[in-house]
Amino acid sequence: MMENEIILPKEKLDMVAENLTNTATAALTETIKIDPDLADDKQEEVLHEAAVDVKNETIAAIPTEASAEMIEPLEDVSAEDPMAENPVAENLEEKLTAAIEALERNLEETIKEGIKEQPSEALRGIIKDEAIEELEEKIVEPDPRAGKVRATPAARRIAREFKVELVKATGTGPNGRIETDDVKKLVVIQPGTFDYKSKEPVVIKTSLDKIAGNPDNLFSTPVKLEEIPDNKTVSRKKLKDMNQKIEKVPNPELDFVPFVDENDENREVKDADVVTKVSALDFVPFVDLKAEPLREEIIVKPTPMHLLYESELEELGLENKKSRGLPRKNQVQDKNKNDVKAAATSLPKATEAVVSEEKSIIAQPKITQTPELEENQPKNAIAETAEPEDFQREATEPESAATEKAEPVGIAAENIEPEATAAAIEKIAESSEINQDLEMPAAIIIATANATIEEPALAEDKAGKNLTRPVRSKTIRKYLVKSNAETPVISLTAEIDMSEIKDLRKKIAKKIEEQARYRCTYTDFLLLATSRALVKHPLINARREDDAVVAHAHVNMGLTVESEHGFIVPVILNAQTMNFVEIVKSRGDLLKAVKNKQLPSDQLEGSTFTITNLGMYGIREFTAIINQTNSAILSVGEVVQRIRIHQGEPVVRSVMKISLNLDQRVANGVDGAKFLQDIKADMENPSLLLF
Amino acid sequence: MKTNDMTKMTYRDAIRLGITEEMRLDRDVIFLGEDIGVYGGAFGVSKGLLEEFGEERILDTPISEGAIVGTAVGAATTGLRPVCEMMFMDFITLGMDALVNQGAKMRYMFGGQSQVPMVLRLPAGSGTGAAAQHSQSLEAWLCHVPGLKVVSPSTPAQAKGLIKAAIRDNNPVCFIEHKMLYDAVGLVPLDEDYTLEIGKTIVERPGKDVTIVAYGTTLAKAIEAAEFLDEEGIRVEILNPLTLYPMDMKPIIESVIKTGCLIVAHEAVKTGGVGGEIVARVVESEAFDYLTAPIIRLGGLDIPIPFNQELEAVAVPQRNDFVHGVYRLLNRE
Repeated sequence: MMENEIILPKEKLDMVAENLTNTATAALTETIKIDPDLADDKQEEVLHEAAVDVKNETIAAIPTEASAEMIEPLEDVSAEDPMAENPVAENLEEKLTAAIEALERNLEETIKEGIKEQPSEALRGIIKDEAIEELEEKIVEPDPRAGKVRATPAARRIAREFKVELVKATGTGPNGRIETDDVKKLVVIQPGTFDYKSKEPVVIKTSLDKIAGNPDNLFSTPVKLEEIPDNKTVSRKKLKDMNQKIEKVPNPELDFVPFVDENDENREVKDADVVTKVSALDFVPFVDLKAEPLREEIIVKPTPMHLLYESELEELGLENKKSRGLPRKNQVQDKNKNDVKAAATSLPKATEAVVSEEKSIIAQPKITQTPELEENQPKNAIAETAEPEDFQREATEPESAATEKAEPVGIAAENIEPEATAAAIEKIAESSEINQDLEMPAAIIIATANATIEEPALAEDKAGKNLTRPVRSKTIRKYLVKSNAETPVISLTAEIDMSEIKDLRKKIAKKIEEQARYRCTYTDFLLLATSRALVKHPLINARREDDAVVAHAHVNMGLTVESEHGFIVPVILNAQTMNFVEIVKSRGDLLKAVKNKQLPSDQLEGSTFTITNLGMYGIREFTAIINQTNSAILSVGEVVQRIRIHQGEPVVRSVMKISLNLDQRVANGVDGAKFLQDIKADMENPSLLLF
Repeated sequence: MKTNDMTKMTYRDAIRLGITEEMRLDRDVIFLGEDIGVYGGAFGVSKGLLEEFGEERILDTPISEGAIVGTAVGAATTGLRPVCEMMFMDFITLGMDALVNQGAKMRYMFGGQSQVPMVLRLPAGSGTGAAAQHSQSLEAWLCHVPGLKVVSPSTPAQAKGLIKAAIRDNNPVCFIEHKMLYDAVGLVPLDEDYTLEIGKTIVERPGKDVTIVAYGTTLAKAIEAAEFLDEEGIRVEILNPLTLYPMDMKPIIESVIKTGCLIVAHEAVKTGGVGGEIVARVVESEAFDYLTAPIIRLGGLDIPIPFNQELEAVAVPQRNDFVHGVYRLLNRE
């Protein structure tokens, strides 16, 4: 037995030793992953042992090489040897089995866990270190919840305010969360904490108590605070203060008595910054000082640039010059009074100069004219607003008309500078055409120049505000220039009770719509009444030819209509022959034609009398400028409800105001008044109109 | 015309009324979009406007959202007040550059010298069975752009008040209208000057136990849930932000202080939604100390809206989600 084990050839021993070392190493590298510290120690131990074993074996093997007989004397010589040899052999066996077992275990693990990457010898150190770090983290990782209390923010707040230790509370919420009720169970305010005596603990009652209805809740039944004895030192005033403090609790429904410790330095809890105003919300950082107020009053705005019709652009020499707004705006700042004066007087001359001397003098009109144009710009706007009282001026109309004429010249001159000479000559050719038109306005300019100079300051303000340039249609220019300059006008206003018509319209609206295909409006009644009145009063339906007044034989009723051209006056021909249905039909057709741009040429112009209506914009009453060649214009306001005396009783009636502007040279005020009276009579008895 | 009269009308009609009134009052208001003229709009909002205002102001555009928004931004800078309609809010992606990089920034970039008074009408939301590309609620994107205002009315009266305020506002306003609300009926003031302030949160229903913040269709579902919970003695306070950006947080914070419980709901997907922002602001505020339970966010599932209508309903918060949410907050479940 012993011999078998002892007598081993050296080679075999070496092999065993080598195997042992290898397997041990392999096993160890595996085990290292699980327990590096232990593994390291073990490895060293095992390696050491293995090395010692091998040494021992070798030593032991050397004598055995000779023969078996030599064992005995050897045994004698080295008495300790057998003692040493036996454990060595046993050790070896143990080691081997252990190593095999370890290998088997590793194999099993590998099968279970999948093949692990076997670190190569060269990288072993680095990988091992990382692996160790990972493992350490996993092991050391503390539970983030350890030693922490799970509580709602409100519970924490109450605990803080009433100095309750949260740890003592038992959480009744999900996962043992401490709720407000759990904290409140622990809250006891000792008598004397407040400025008054109380034997009972203060009851903290919240709306939550009512909801949850927890029978265990100590505070579910409120206990009244003991009344304060009158003879106590606490003054009423102090009590009042205290009550106020209670009132200061964000939610009065809470009935929550806050803990007030006068000595606590941190007592003053600042309110969180709550965004209260929209203005304080983080939004567009620019304050728009120039922005116009939204709509304080109803203003008919100047026709914006985009509505300027193409043909008109051509006429003004502005084709493809869409960006002219900006440079002009800048010039506004440069102007001054003197420029205005100079420009106003030298305007006609300057234009002539441009025409005759071509490009060499181009710079001159540019300098003198443009500021002047800018000055007058806002006045155009004013003329169009139909609310002259706001700006209190009368002389502006002709003047603005004049500037309209002058504009093209200025712009032409302005645009020439950077362009080629050929282009410049073209522009001048254009301006020469316009120059002919300018003769008359120029005269007016001189007449009104003084008025102009008075108001540049106001004009300047307005010019800064108006981003859109006022451009106006030909019709308006005609109106403004001729009408106001030449005509002495008288204005007459009458109020018409519309209640009857209102009722009648309700009754007949459907029938009329069937026949005429348009819904009838108040305007239709007015058109009919006016046509009939005009037949009776030929002077109102007349034109003036030098010194003679010629009454028309027919009524061509003009209606002011807004279109893309600015506003125009299309005509209902021979309105005097029409009955109500025909009026409704022709008016509807007319407006439709205007909208669809299919207005026949004979209806485009040539009115003998004009009606203009701003009632739909909420205008109560206004007067308009007489359309040229007509002798009068009728302005119609809004139909409103007013209290009027009707058959001796104050009742609410629908009333409307109409105003007649009349050329005094054609007819006098009495004629106009009678005319209005007839209209009024017809309108107030509308049944008659239908026959 | 000043009047105190109220009339019952649908959400759709209220929007139309608001636009019509503004167009009558201000000639600069124009309306552009796909099929809004002759056809009357994909959802019938602009029916009859073409007859009243003509082609000059009611513009049928080509099918190019980029062109619509771009045109509107340009027109607004020249002084007009364009109202433009996306057929579906989902298509805003195509107009995003003009809106986000130009429209929203213009006033800032030009030092306040320019302004962009435009309104973008965006029909949003699911429920129509129109599947993933026509049912989204993308308001969170728009709220992420300073310079835009985002409003979302839930009733006809709010729709009228806000569309008028939006048109009068000098900044680009995104007007988010929910498709399922178009037929909702309610009393609408007829006063021409009736507007709702932009940037104002309102209390739709007072209560004391739980606060629910909801807008769009979720508001109606929240109210349904509140009525159901009323029978159990739970009083739910419901707030409607109306303006999603810039949002008025004060009433919400005050309500949370009162109730201690908060549910925030919207139809848009939960991840990155407006609700998250509301919750964050509440937690940042004083109201944190009054919270008695974790805040609940009810939002759409993080999925494209399904075509199948059963699945579609599951994808967005419904009445029962609110009820269960409230139970959870009050430890009833």
